[in-house]
Amino acid sequence: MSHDGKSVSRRGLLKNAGAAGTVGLVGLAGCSEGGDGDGDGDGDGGGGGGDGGDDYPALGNYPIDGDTATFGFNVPKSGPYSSEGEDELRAYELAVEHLNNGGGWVDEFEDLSGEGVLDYEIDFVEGDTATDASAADESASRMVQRDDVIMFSGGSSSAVAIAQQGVAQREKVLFMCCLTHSNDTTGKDCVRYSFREMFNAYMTGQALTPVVTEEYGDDLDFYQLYADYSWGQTQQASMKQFFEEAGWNEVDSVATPLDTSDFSSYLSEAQSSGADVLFLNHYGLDGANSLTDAVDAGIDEDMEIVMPLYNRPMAEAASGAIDGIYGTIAWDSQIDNEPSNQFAEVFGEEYDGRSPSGPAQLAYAQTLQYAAAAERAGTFYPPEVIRELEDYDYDNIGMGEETMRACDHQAQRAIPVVRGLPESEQEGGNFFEIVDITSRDDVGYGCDEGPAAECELGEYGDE
Amino acid sequence: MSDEVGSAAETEADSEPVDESPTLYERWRQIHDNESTVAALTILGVALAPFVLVTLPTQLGLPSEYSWYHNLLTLTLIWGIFALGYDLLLGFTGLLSFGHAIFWGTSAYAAGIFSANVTGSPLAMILVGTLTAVLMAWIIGWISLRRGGIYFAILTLAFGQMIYYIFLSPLGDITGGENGFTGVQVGSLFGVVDLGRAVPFVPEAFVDSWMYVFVGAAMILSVVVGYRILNSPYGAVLRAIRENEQRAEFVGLNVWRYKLMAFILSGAFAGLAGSLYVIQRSFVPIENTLNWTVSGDIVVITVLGGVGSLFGPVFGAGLYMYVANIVSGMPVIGEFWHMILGIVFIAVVATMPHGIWGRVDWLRDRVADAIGGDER
Repeated sequence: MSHDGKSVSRRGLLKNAGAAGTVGLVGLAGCSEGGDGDGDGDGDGGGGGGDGGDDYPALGNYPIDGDTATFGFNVPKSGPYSSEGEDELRAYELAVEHLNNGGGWVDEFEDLSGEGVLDYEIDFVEGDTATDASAADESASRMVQRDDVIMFSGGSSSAVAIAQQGVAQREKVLFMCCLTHSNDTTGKDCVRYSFREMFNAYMTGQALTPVVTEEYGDDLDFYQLYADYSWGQTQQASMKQFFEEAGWNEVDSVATPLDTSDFSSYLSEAQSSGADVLFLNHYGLDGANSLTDAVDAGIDEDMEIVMPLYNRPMAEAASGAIDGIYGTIAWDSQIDNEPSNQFAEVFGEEYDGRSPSGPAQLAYAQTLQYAAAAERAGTFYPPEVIRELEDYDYDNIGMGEETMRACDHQAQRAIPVVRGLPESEQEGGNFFEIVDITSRDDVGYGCDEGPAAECELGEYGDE
Repeated sequence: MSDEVGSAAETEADSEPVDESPTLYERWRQIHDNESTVAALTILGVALAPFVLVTLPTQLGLPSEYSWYHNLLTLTLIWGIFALGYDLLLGFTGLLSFGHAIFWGTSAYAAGIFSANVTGSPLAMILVGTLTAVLMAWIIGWISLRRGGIYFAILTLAFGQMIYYIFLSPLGDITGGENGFTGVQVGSLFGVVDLGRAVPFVPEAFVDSWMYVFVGAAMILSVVVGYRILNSPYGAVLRAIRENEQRAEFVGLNVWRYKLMAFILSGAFAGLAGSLYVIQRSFVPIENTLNWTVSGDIVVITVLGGVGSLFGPVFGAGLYMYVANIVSGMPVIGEFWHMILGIVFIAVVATMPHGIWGRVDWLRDRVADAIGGDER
């Protein structure tokens, strides 16, 4: 009764049985899904225009029942990263709208038609990760089990992304990372069933070090505060590694709990440490709070502040405090090229002239990348979609030439380094000036070094 | 101690059904508190829950955003076991502990870390997890039970927070700190049964995977053990302590020792549940294991279901899981699920003083009266 000794769920087995017409099982299924599965197996083959839907065994939530494919968008709607989550959700909704009806990048991607994906209409369900790994895990598992999503995506907080990667690999349902910047996501916790477009802390270190050391000088002492979870820890380690290689010296580094609202006690210790530069490895509302607290305490007068990772919602919340602060961002609407301008334009049209943030661009790009890969593969069968995404070269999402590397599922891409604008110049949704777009040739690491050395992707599921 | 528990079997032997009285009511009265009836009812409930809560609503056309799903049922049973053990302490011994996250959490970590380093056999994980919880309960009970009432509650809460911080920071290298422990490697049962797999010859409409069978079996076992404890002389002593501690002491009972044993027993149930939780998720998230909110959740679940009843806490777990996982995913109202849970809690406490199970009991008596039990 088992299929080649592989681990398949009951649901999968039944669908498979339906498609293959295994009489015994269908008979057993009786009042359950057996009958449905049968119809869908055939419908899939016909409707997909010879997409070979019948050729693959059931795996995860493949094949899809009916003529609607469901995506799951699991974003933080509460917790310190909730404003990033809201912006991601806007972009996800826009992506689904474009996949079904055309528009935006869908018209430019040669693989996409604007009439659904593989003749399936795209629908979606939402979940709240609450910026917390356990909540994300539960909500992802609901999407996979109950809503039968064929792909889920979401982000902000690497602990959350890593927890969801676990669900993805176990359930054999693809997860497309949105914002997650920890080295571990595509390092020691990497999985076959997840892809990351976002760069990581290691690459931020590589991009930021030349710019910052040139601006502030050599042989300085620095002090770090970092968020005490996967991202903050690897962020802190990478900053230490690259700045010490560049000749700077770390005085101390202190962990702060996620969801801290008052950083003043941590900051006063930093202030009295005698260091020249302060790295604030915080993100989201935590980042906005720590930066604002630092500026309020007058730290920016004695020390230089660097915010290794920031974004538009954070800058909006911190407003004047970001003046002159260096950092890296996922993407910005000021980056002047065809896809970037187009995305900023369609996003603005849909949401009252609002400028999309970096996380929004990631959310939009990742959804479309998945859809395009499924079109290229001619099926939603996850191992085939994964193989289409691996080592895929593209330059259509506004960050120049990129490769989705097969060895660790980490995109090799350029990184924008920015400096915050003073409050008086923050107009029209512009909060930073782009100092440099560090080419992908100057950042990154081989498959056997850095975080990738610890990565073992695991099974495709069809071995 | 064990000799006292052993006598439970004899007590039950007295209530064997006798086929003399013809009325349905009489027969029901005779068997409804019998151990095998309780076990049979639990088996029936566990076996039918997926069909009634997952399959049937879908076939009746209930939109999927309101319906249950298999993983959640498994999770509910796990929390149900936890709550059942908690109720032994709160409902039957009258001790309000605010630190039960300790036993649930440490057993989860122990089982998880054990699976990554030694073996992923689910039974071994349960053994290690439960033993850890028992050991923790022994130590913490031994210290905390020297005080009663609010002091006891606060002491357990303090221990809970202490262990939470120890696992979060000083032990962060082993436990994964804020990220949770991600290296869990669950193996197959007896080396052959992969828990994620479907059960052969059983339609999915009833049972979707071995995991459910495994957790369901643990649930049934827990109910039977719980029933035994409560219906043994030992359980009678616990109730005596709940009603009047001083009197129990005057009778010559070593009250402190009984309380400690109740605490340990309840810790063991929490340990079993915590280990199952890790086996189901293959992940130990710290916020859902050791954080003090878990200690609060379990009080809420037990009170919702009905303090001092055997089955009540399981229903409490069901209601709680529904609000926390399904209502929270509904459009518009989803974001306010904490508030909705609060309203549900107030409504249950106000209208059902003995929880959901109290209401079920009340209904059952009404039905029994209607069938013909007027001599009562």
